[in-house]
Order: sequence, then C-alpha cells, then structure tokens
Amino acid sequence: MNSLEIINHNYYFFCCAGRKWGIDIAAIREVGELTDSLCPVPHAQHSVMGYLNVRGDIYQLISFKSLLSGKKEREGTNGLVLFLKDSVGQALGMYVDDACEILSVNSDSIENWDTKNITASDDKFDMSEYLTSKVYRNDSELIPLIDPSRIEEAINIVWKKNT
Amino acid sequence: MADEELIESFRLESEEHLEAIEKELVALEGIEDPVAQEEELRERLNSAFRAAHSLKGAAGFLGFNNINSVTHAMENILGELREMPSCPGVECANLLFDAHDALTKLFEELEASDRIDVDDIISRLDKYVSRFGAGKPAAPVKTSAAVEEQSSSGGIFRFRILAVDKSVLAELQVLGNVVKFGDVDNGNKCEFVLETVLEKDLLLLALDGYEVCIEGLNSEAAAVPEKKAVIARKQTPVKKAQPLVKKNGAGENKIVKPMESSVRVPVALLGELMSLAGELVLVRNQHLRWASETGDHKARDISSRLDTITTELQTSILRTRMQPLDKVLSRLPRIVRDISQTLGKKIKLEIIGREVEVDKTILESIVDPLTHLLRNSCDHGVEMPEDRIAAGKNETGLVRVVAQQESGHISIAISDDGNGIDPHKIASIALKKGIVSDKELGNMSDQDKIALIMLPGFSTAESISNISGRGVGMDVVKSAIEKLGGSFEIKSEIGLGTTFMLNLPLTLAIIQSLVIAEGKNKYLIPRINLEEVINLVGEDVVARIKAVNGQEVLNYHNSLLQLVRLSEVFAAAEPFDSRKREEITRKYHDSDSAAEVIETDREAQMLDIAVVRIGQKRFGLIIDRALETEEIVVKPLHSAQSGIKIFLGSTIMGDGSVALILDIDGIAKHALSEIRYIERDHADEECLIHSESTQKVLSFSAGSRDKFALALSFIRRIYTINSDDINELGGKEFVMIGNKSITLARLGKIFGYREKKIDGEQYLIMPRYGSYSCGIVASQIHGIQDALIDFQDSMLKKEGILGTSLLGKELTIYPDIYYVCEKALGADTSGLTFDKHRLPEPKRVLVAEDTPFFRQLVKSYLVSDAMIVDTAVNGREALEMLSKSDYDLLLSDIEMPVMNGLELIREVRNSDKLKHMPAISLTSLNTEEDKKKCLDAGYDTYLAKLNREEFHDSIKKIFRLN
Repeated sequence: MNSLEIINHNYYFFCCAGRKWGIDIAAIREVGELTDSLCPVPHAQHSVMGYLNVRGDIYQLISFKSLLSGKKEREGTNGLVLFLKDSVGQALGMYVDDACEILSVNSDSIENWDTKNITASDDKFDMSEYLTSKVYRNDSELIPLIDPSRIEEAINIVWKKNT
Repeated sequence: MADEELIESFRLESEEHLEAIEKELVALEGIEDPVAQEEELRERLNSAFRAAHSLKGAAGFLGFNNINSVTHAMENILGELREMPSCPGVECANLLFDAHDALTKLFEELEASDRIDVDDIISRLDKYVSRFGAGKPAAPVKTSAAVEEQSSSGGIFRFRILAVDKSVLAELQVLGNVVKFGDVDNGNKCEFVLETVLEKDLLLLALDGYEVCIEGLNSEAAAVPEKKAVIARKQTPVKKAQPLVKKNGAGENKIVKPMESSVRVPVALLGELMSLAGELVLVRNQHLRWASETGDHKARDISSRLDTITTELQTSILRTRMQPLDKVLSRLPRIVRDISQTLGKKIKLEIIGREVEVDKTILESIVDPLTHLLRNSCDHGVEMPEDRIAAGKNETGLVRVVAQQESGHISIAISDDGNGIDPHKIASIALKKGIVSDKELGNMSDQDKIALIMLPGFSTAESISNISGRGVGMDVVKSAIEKLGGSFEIKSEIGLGTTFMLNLPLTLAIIQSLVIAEGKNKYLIPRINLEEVINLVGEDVVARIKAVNGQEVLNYHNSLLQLVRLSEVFAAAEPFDSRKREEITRKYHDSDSAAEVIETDREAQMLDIAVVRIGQKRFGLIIDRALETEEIVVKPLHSAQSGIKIFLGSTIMGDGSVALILDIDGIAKHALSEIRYIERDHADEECLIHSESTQKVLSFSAGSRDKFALALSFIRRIYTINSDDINELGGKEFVMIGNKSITLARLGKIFGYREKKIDGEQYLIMPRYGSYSCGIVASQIHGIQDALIDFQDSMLKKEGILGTSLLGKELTIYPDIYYVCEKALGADTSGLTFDKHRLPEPKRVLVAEDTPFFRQLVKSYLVSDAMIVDTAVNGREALEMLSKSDYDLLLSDIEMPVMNGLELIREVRNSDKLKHMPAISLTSLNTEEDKKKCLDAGYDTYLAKLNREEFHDSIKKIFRLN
C-alpha cells in the first residue's frame, strides 16, 4: 500500500469482560461516570441497566458485559459510561469496566472482520463476533473494534434467545 | 410537478371541500319539502357546487387531471340541480356520494391519482347529466398556464394585485390572464388585474417571495377569503380583518399589509412546539424544586413567574393542537345514511357536542373506533322498522352521539334505542367458546357478562356483516381507546338499547400523575387511572388484607377489591397464572412466611394502596409510598423496551431523575385474570371490621386544579378578602381583619405545587381550634358536602396531608389545617417529632375519638412519631380493645356516643389491669370546670383540641422522653 493512502482513525479503547475493545471515537458523544440516578426498568432485557437523564435526553444504559455474556452480570460501580451519538440509534449509553486509551490508528493496521455469515439462530452464535466489524492489530494483540450500530439489534438478539 | 407546499395546501383545502360536499349532500337528502325549504335548498346546492368547483379549478391548475375530470362531471350534475332547483333523488344522491368517495380515494393517493381508473364514475356521472338535456356541459379546466376563459359564474376569480416590483408580471402571466396593469403611487407601485382559477390562498402561496397585496374584485374572488375567515374564527379567535387598501387623510391610496385571519402551520411544527413546551415544563418543575429548596425569595419570585408563563404558554400551544370533534362527527351522518339504505332500516342520528375540542392526535385515533361503534349501533342495535312497530316503538330508530368535556377529559356516548344486548346470550356463547367457565359465570353480574364481548375474538354475529365488521371489533375498539389512556364501557338493557361510553384524555403529551415510591425508585400513576390512595398501618396491614380463593383482596366500600403487589409485578416478567397468584398470596398470608415477610420487611407495617381504575373497573395496587402529584411530559420507552406492557413511557422528574409511567391496564393484564368485584358474601366476614362514616366537609380550590376539603368541625369561620388588601412582608403575606393581622397560608407554597395567584375576591378559611392568627387562602369555595370516607384508609405519609378521597367525581385532598398554619407562621416543627432512635421500643397508643377527622389527625401525629396506633369510635369499643390488648397510652375524646370519655376513664381506673395506665383527655370542652371534671374522673392530663406543640409535650412527658 502506498504510504500516502494511509489514513489515521481515532479509536477509543476500553476494557470489559477481561479484554480490550475499541470503538470509533466519532460514535461517542461523551464519556461519564455512573450516577445513582439510574432508573431501572423492570422486565427489560438483562443487558439493560436502566434509563439515565443526560441533559434532558433519556438514555438507555446497557451493560456491555451482560450483552456479551447474554446473562445478568454483577456490575461494579467504578466503570465508565460511553454515551453514544444519536446517529448510532436511540439515545444509548454503554457501561464498560474501564477506559484504556485513545489511539490514532492507521488504516493499514485495521482489518475487516467478516460477520456476514453470523446469524442469531446459529448455535455457534457469538455476540463478541457479531458486534465486531473490524480488528486492530498491534505488535502484541488483536483488538476487536465494535460496530455501535449493531448494539440495539444485539440487545434484541439476547432477549429473544433468553425468552 | 408543482411546488410541494402548493400541493400540501391543496390537499388540506380539499379535505374541507370534500367534507362540505358530503355534509351538504346528506342535508339535501333530509329536505322534506323543497318548495317550503327552497332557500335552504338553494344555499346547500350552491355550497356543494362551489366546493366541487373549487376542487376542479385547483386540480386543473396543479395538473391532477383525474380529480379535475371527476369534479367536473360532478359539478355538471350539481349545476343542473341548482338551476331547477331540485333535491337529488336517491339514485342521484347515491351517484354523487360515489363520486365523493372516488375523489376521497384520489386524494388519498394524490401523487398517483392520475394512474387510478376513474372512467366508470365519470361515465355514470356523464350519463346521468345527459338526462337533464341541458346542452353541452362546461369543459374541464385545462392545466397549468393554459387557463381557459370561463364565465364569471363559472369560477374565474378576478383579483387586484398591488406590487412594489414589476417582475411579478411574469409570474402572474403563468398563473392566469393579466387583463390590466399600470403604475400607481407616482410610479412606486404597480397595479395588476388578474383573472385566474386560483383561490386567494393558492394565489398567495404561488406568489410567495413577492411583496404584494391582493384584493378580490368579483363576487367569487371576494367571497373566498370571507369563507376562510369563517372557518378560521371557529378554530381560534382572531382580530377583525383589516381592509386591504385604505385612504389616508389626503385621500391617497396607501398599501397596508393584509391581516391574515389565520395561517396554516404544518402539524410537525406544532408537534415540535408541543415537545419544546414539554421540555420547558420539565425545566420549570426542576426550577420550582430548586427554588423551594434554596428558600431564596428572589429565586422563588422568578420561579413563580416562570411557572405562570410556562403554564400559559403550554395552554396556548395545547390549544393550537385542539380541534373540534365535529371534524370526526361530521362524517357520521353519511355512515348512518348508507347503512340505513343498505339494511332497509330507518335511523335518525342526533349529534350533540360537535364543538368539544380535543387534541389532534386523539381526534385522529378515534375515527375508526367511533365509526365501528356507530356501525354496530345501526347494524346490531336498531331493529328493522316492522320489528320496532311490533315492539311498540317508533319505526325510526334513534342513534345519539353525545360528546362533552368534563374535568381534564372528554366523554363520548353512542347510544341507540334498539333491542339491547342479551347478557344470557353473551354468556352462553362465551361458555360455548370456552372463554369462561360455568363457575366464573356464576359470579358475574349482567354487566360483567355484557363486557365479555370486549374479549378478543368474541362474536355474537350469526352471519358475517360488512356493516359493523366481522364481530371481532369490540376488543380492537377497547384496546385502541385504552392505548390513548382512555376507557371503554358498554351499558345495555334488553329492549331499551345500548350505550357505548368512551372516556378520553384531552391531550396525550402532558399529564397529571401521582408520584409513588417502590423500593428505591419513583414511578408514576396517570391521574386518569387513579381513584384514591388509602393507607394501612400496623395490624391493619394483616387484618384488612385477606386471601380469598388464592387472591389478595381488600375490604373496600361495599365490595372486596382485588389487590396487586407492584413489587411482585416488577419481579416477574411473565404474566401471572393462577399458580403464581396463589404463590404470592401464600407468601403474604401463610402464617409462617407472612411473619417472615413482615419481620424482614419493616415497610410491611405501613403500606399504601393506590385504588386504580380502568373505566368502571377498579383494583388496588399495593405500593411502598404515595408521594405527591406532578405534571409530567410523557416520553416513549426506548424501542428495545416497547414490548414491556406494564409501562406507558418514561419522563424526567423535577429533581432531574428519570421515572417510568405505569400502564394500569397493562399491569391488570399482567397480574389479574380479570378485574372483577368479589361480593362480600364470598369473603371472610372477619375482614369487614371497620365501618365507614360520613362527615360534612367544605370543598375548595386553592389556585390549582387540585380540589381540597376540610371538615366543617375544623373551621371557625370564612372571610372574604380582596387581593388588593394583601400585604407582603419578609416573604409572608398578611391581611388586616378588624385590627388583627392574619397570616395567609397558601397550600401551593406549603406543599410545593403551582398555585396561580388570583386577583380580586378570594376566601380565607380560619381554623376552629388553636390560637393561630392564620388562615388558608381559597380561590374558590365549592360548597359543603357529605363525604363518605373510610378513615382507616387515609393516607398518612405525606406530611401535612390527612388523606385523600373521592368527593363527587374528583379526588380530593384533606390538608391538616394545623400543620398548614404552623408552616405559614414559620413555626419550627422539627421538635414536634421524636427521635425514633430514642424510643426503646415502639409505643402502642389507643385513640378513642368519634370524629373521623380528629381521629385521623391525632393518629397521623402519633404514627409520624413511630408509634403503633389503634383507634376506637366510642368509649365502649375502646374499653373492649383495652381489655384484649396491651397499650402504653390512652388518648380519649370526652363527648362520644355509646360511652363518653368520662365514663371510659372511670371504667379504666376501676380495672385492676388498667388502673395505672397513662391517659390523656383531648377535647374541645375548654372551661376550667371541664378540665376539672376530666382530671377528677381519672385522666392524667387534659388537652384542649388542638395545639400540636402542647400535644407533643404531653406525649413526651408521658413517655419521659425529655
């Protein structure tokens, strides 16, 4: 690849469920802490922690850990909330264990992750694979880069599987 | 394609024209004597003709050829009828209605209207018009710029147009024929005379961007704006239209801007305004809370102004979305007419309440339910003429639609004088279909059996009819109405008729609600679903809630109310089946597990029950605490949670937190198999332990929509005061009465709700007992009523509120007048509640008092001090209770029926078990002699009703808490 064609992208890297994940920083509205004013929603999907008021908008807060495992997970209080931009879907916040770093990543270290053949009905369905659209390869590891537009659908997939 | 805005305007106007055509055709058919009613006949034919003509002209201009052709053919017939004049016969009317329906379809698919086949209707119309033999009909209007000359009576409008820029000429030449133009105003302006098929509204739109003034010259052009003004006046009061051109002092023509009586605003923009008003309400709520907490007078003043302005703005914006029900009701005569013809029935339709206004969204949502119910009344209700005569009725059936606005909602009743619904027939079908069992039917009243037709899939129709659907519509009607937050009921009597009752909120966007606490979170109950909140304390929790057939019930007036525990609803995502219901009932009523629940859950010692309703059906929702009322803006749940049926939506509260709004119907469906009353006979009589009492109360308003009431026995007198006489000092308000300064107590300020200040005359309610120089301000006195209140059920936990109950049809709040006065006077009441941690163990107190309000008041003071309180309504009952249980204190009134307080204390002092028991007399008898009598009889302390401070001091002394 010609070096002139290399484009840098900013990714926000976070830790959750014992590993590192990345998300395009353009999809994030802001990063905040979990407040005690979280309103739980009885009967909601396991991954839905509740609703939050963020400057007049009601955000649905989901636990990324629960979304990955497909079951209710015990959450700590030291995590962070990634509030995603409206363009991603309805007002959505994602609760993760911890922040790692923001990195400017050049495009030749990113590979597309083929998820075309993953269907929810598949016995081997894996949520982390479903959410991953690309992977970032650095010297020591492969980090999944998630596609935020798939989160809402992912909530429903988990819900349907559980019911 | 013409400009989108122009097409949208055409579409909106067409609705009015089509409505006018339909309305006039139905009315023309109703003209019984065309000779005697010739004036009306001409007027209606002219009106229908004009509407068809206007549609034709605009459709031609915009290039909608099929609409143009159909209206042209229709106009020909109407023209011929107008010439004679003559009423349309049945065949002619049917044809014109068919043409109207064809036009409606064309407008529904306006963009594709030219691809819809209209040959059949045009050929039928043309064939019919040829019968008149009136020569060649007028040709359809050509499209776009090729406007063909017509006679002035054929719909060519002539306008004078004054413009500052001559460049408008080119545009005018496209819109019609410019027959004259020249300079005026010393060459500063240009005058044009334009002949066009466009009405003024369309012309103004077409000339958008040009600075012009337009005046109609011929009668048709001049008539159009007048007609529009009439329509506009019906919707909103507007200023009188100004003349287009007026002469100044020198007799010179001066251009003035035309005063438009109304403007068309896109619904989306109104929606956006409504949404912003909703956000403002939330900010207002937050500001009110903040200002109240800071205690800063300036902040409170600003908050008060913000509150007033927000309320007025919100009301005005709500009004922009309100539309008269007539928009829907005007369609009904046509439906009745068609059904009558199809079925060979004679049906008269009466409509009352066309002017009642309702939010546009609700209006649009009730079209189908209303149509369905009307069809049902005509099809299944009204009998055939021969059957009606045989039954001794008039051969013409009567269907009445009555709409009226009540407080905060509207009701629509559709009633017929037909054969009614036979509950036994319904019951037998329901049994056959397996919808109910024999046993369940045995417990059902006739009304319950009739209500079975609202179950999905229920049908009594012996044959499928296309008039009132396939008999599967009542459940759809019910769910559509309930989805709007309304209710649907059916009342019927065999042989007399059936009434369908719809109750709907006025608007969906902003609603009144009750804030409740469940666990650590707040939830909201829409006020339209709330009947009252009752409170159970201590042993009442166990004594008054019983298990009957695996279902928890509460003794409630003359029946047993089914109970649902909100905590259990939240805990189980799956709807309850009978096993689950029994499991919950066992959990709270098995002696072992119930004891465990009570032991582990201290809140079980005190719980609130929200009595909620869906139509006339009620059930009790057990909640942790009822907190306050709040006006909220409903926001939908996130799409991922849209399947959750127990919530209507969410909202942001005054403190900035998010709360969920309960869907009462959804909760009923989740937790109950059906909502029904359980007759007392079927229940354990032990649970009927408390009687209800009536008491005279004064009901009043205090600058808000909330209604309050005070027991008459608490009121010394009521003064009339004027807002001009009110003085303000140090954040308090005063009036001088005689030579005494009286502090004003405003309930809004004390309980933290919006209280609109009233100018002019208002009322000051003075408390009877105590020495308070303070009175409660009432904006309106509603009168004295007998209130039936079960005082065992009064709500206690909101400080300063004795309870709530239904007075007439309204939920009424009973404030503690003494608390209110103390707050208004700025008395420090913090010392009036004991430190609960200092009580080694909860004290049990027996209160003997015959006046329900005092009983409740005293109980509320003691309960707030963490004491366990039982009550007795006379000395005899108190004595029995004292002999059965151990109490730490007796508090007794003196004047009581059956056994008075003096007799009671003598009996107590004569008893070995009770003779050392502390006892306080609490009475309104306040002479020294009365005091001596009480102490001589055996009371340890004498207290005059009702000084709260003295009361607490005495309690402290008795329990040695100082």
